Amino acid sequence: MFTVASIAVMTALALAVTRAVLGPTVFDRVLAANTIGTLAILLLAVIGFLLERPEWLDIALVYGLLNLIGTLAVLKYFRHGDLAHDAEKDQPR
Amino acid sequence: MIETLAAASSAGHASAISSGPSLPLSFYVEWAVHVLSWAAILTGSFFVLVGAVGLIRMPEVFTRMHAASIIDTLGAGLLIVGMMMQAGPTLISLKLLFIFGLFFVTSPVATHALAQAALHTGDLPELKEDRTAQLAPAPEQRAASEAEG
Repeated sequence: MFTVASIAVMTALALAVTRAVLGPTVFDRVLAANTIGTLAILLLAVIGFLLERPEWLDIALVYGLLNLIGTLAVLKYFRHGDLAHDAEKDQPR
Repeated sequence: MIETLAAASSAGHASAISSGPSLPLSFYVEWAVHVLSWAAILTGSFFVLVGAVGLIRMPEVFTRMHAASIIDTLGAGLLIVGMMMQAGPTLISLKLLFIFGLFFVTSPVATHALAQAALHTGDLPELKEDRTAQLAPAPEQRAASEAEG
């Protein structure tokens, strides 16, 4: 059963990588990168169960935390062209 | 797990012939949890595949975000619930619950930031009819109209 799940997750990973390579806009690539991160977490968990080494879940947790930070940093860079941009200044008062 | 189930069921069968049904309740509970986790992991795999196919076939960014959110919610959720049923009430289940909570919080945040950034750079969703009139004006346009009025 975990073999089936890992094959499904790896197929999905291949499709997400295809979208990251094809993706016409930069946001398609960011979305694909975020999905690749999610699928990597799932693959770590499933293969940890498949090999009966569930300690890999710790690595999956760290991966999940880094995934969000990476996505938000890349999005902020492409939206403002500057990682230190103060978004508060854009708000109309 | 399957071997122990088979051994237990054959033993139960033998005892059913000799002295009536005497299987413990825990056997049925274990069996039900095993079947449910099978179902959850298989449907989770299916939804992961559905989301990935959507990521390829959808026409533009906003619809692709919809497809990717299927992976983050139904796919990941069902896979993690299935794995939690396999692990039982252990520390492993707690870590899986943490990963589930992480998805629950971060996936909408990332999707929202992505949609904001895409809209900010003028990447509008493709619609059947033109709805740009209903759109809220961009911050700089709003500031300009307020300065005029």
